[in-house]
Amino acid sequence: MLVLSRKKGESIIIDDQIKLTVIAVEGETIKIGIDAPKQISIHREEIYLEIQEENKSASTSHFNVEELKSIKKP
Amino acid sequence: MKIGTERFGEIEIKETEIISFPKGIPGLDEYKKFVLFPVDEQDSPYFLLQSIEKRDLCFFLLDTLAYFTDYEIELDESTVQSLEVESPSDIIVFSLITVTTSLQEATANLKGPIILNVKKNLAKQVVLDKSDYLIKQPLFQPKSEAQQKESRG
Repeated sequence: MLVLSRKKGESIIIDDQIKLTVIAVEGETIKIGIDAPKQISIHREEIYLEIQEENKSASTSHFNVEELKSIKKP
Repeated sequence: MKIGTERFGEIEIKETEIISFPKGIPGLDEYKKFVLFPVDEQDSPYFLLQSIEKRDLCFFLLDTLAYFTDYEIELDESTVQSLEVESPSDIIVFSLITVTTSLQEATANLKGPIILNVKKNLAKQVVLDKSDYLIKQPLFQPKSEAQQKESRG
């Protein structure tokens, strides 16, 4: 992993097309601005990991299609 | 072509029915080709997404907008481009359903919907970072309306 230190207002450029800027530093929280081409998707990591885990749970779910017919939506 | 499945045994499918997930499904992203079946013919919002590459990989899906009628979703440019979307009517939105304990306690992932372009048979899962939709939205318990609060941006 490449580690760089930046102060508020400073930026990092990735692959000539993605720019990360430190917008604000408030205690332990950093606000980061991201300029990137529209086709690149950007997410908070923890949400992405949660989605991955939920997908794995969904893939091993056991469901009985017959049972569905007897369940009523509240 | 014939494919082997755990749930349905050997089934015959047409090439034109195959749905491609160019990036796979996060967590299981080596599997990219699936077929979609409705659970039954009578206007049910439930579907099955069967992998044609792994016989025991079959997801249970909900047609999200048919079930949660005030669910709102906006597609970003990255998704519109990668799924080659030309019009909103090209799209169906699904949610993956997770059943752990019992069907009564089943949940739908409203935070990570599956977007399918039915014209191109291209699909991907998107993550609605800015929404307050749940990853585990109960389907059958009380208070099962999708929740949307003011986003904190």
